[in-house]
Amino acid sequence: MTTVMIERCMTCGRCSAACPVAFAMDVPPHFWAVRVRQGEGESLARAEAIWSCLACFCCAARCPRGVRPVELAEQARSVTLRKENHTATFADETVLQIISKKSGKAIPQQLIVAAMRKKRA
Amino acid sequence: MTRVIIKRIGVFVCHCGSNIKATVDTAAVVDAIQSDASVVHAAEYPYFCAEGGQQSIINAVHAHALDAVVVCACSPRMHEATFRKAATRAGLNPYFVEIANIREQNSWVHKNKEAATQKAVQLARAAIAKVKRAVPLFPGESAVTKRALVIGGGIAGIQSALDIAEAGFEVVLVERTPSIGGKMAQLDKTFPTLDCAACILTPKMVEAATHEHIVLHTYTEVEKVAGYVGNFSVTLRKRARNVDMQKCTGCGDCYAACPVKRIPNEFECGLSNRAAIYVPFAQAVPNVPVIDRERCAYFRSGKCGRCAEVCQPGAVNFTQEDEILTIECGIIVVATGYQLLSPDMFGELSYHDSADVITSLELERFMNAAGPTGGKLLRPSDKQVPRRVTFVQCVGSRDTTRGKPYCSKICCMYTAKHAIAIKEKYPDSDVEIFYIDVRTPGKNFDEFYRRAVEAYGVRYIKGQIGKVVTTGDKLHLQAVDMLEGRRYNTTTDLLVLATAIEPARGAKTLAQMLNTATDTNGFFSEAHPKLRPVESATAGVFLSGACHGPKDIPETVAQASAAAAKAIGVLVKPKLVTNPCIAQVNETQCNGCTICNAVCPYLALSRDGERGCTTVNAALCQGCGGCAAACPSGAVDLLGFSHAQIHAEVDALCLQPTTHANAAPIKHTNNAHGGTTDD
Repeated sequence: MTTVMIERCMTCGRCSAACPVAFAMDVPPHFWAVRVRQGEGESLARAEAIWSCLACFCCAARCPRGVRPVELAEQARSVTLRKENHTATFADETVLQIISKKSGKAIPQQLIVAAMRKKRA
Repeated sequence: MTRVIIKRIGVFVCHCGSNIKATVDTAAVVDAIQSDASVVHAAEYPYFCAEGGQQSIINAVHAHALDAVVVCACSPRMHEATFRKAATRAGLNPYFVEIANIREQNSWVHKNKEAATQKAVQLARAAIAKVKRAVPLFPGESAVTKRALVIGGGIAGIQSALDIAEAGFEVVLVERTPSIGGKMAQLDKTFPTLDCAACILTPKMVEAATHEHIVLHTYTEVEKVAGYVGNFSVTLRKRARNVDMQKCTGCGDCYAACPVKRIPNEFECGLSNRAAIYVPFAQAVPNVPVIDRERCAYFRSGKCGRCAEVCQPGAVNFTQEDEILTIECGIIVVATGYQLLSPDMFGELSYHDSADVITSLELERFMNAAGPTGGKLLRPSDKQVPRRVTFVQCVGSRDTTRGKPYCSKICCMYTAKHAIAIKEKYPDSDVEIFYIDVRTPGKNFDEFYRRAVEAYGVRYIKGQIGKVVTTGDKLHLQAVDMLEGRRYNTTTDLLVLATAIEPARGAKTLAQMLNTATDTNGFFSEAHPKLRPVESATAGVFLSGACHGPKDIPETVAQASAAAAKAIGVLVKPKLVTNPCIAQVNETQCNGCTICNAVCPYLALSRDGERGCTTVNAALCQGCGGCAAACPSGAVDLLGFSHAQIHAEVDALCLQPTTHANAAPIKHTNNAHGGTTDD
């Protein structure tokens, strides 16, 4: 279950067109709402894309239907972390290390900023 | 007023097929209401609105000597008129019919059959209580002014005006801009036949201007609307052109001589300039220039007057002032059309940052032989023919966050038209179109779209553009190809935005003046979405064209003619039957405070100074009941909805427990509301 209004998505693609990292994602944002809607949220949680997401909210800002794909990625990340019994909060160093390990890349700076912003809020 | 004591009521419970019967136990309703001593007959039937059903009501009126009828069925908006006519045929006064709405307000909105049945019984009891206090009412008559007013001189208004004028009625056609023609005059070609828009429009413009029954007022706006169907009185402001319509020969010497030349031409979407004295376009009707007072050097500083100097017939007249005209008319056709949504909200598409990002209407002007480039498609930035042209659809359409929630309907087709037109003119160019869905319902529409793809090689990409960056002479697009499921970054020379369409500026104000409704998007609302598509909710006001919602030209013309047919249907009537459900003042109770006069939206009430009380103008009163509610002394009653009737309904609903059908009705201890009572 998700609070994101996935049924509103009309697959126009504006999220993926706007996303600054969609080019590097295995599953670009315009698939996310559809996947969850089709009961394939698990496959989204397994995708590398959710760890590439910068949480910049560009997709949410550009979506003409008020869907917020960024929150799907966030929820998928949380679910995955909890399943692996990581009790740490998102902004903790351990989490950032996990993300780094999972994505096999250096942590994008913007993700750290976004995480810090969230923790402080 | 004759008071008929109603003692013999017939109640008719309709099944409406399964619409009511599936949720309401109609047999139980028939049983329950028979406990009322006044109900001498009760019956159920699958469709009382059908001929057999109506006949069964008439037969029952005769057989049981009924003096009033209650029909438990659909909304009175649907079939009240039907059952009133049936009652008239049976010899009853039609206002001895009450409708209990057990469909829209009951069976359609409830699931629990037991509760819905109980509610149906209560609604029936309320209607019975109301009809017991009914008085016979007799409709009056009002005259019809045999003249039509058409607001808006685009293709919709022109077509409606011509059709009404052809039927022999005088038409006043009002246009806000200096020329009729509207948006269609700005278009290059029309889909799906690729007819030249001007070639099919200009003859109609001339016909409208020269028709013996049409009076044309351009550069004129509606200021005030008073009256009602058959008898509207409309105030127009005819703005000063400062050019004498009679003297002007349309030679054009004035605008050639005008020294103020760098004003963006509205007709050309600002792509070329005009002078301070100008005609909006070459084929303008009337071909008489107008002075833009805000820009004119003479009006700004008193120094200039070059146009007047060169004008041979002496038509330029700086002293001309706005004229106020009052038009008496029987009907009004609204044909105010649409405008384009500003792309301001879509900063990522760089409309304001790059000259080479244009709207579809601007492209129409570039493609038009009479346009700013003589029909050559030249990039605004460097005046070169673009090698690649990219279109993006649904800019602001189907957008609940920054745009309009609806589909603008015409963009898919005009974008395909533009693509074909560009490919025809510049076969070497590359045309790609970003779309969400391609919607082509319409005669020969899908064939047209497929021709763009198959015969012209237009590339359709399912996806959208997320960002536009200008580098050198190229536009870099960050986009997505949905079918490939990946990012698609590309460059282009010209980007065309299919922006959403919205109601024309001022539509809301006009709707308020006409006292008619608009929908959530500001388009005029029709009286019924299926059965009364060209009438507004206000009697005598008809809707034509895109003021009612996005429409293409054939649909606009069809609606314009339909509106004209409906308008003619009113204009040909020698007299109109008026609704007798209007306000009535009990002069002995009225103390002349005039509170009711102030609340009346139709200006139907006025104070009779001699007698010191309010009187009702029956022709103006629309029966809204505002006065009846406002009157502090209960002196005003709405016929057909008297205080006595409403109170009886409320009592029937609230005071009688459903299980005790015979409980005595409670009388008002203080009957201060002027209604008669027979309790």
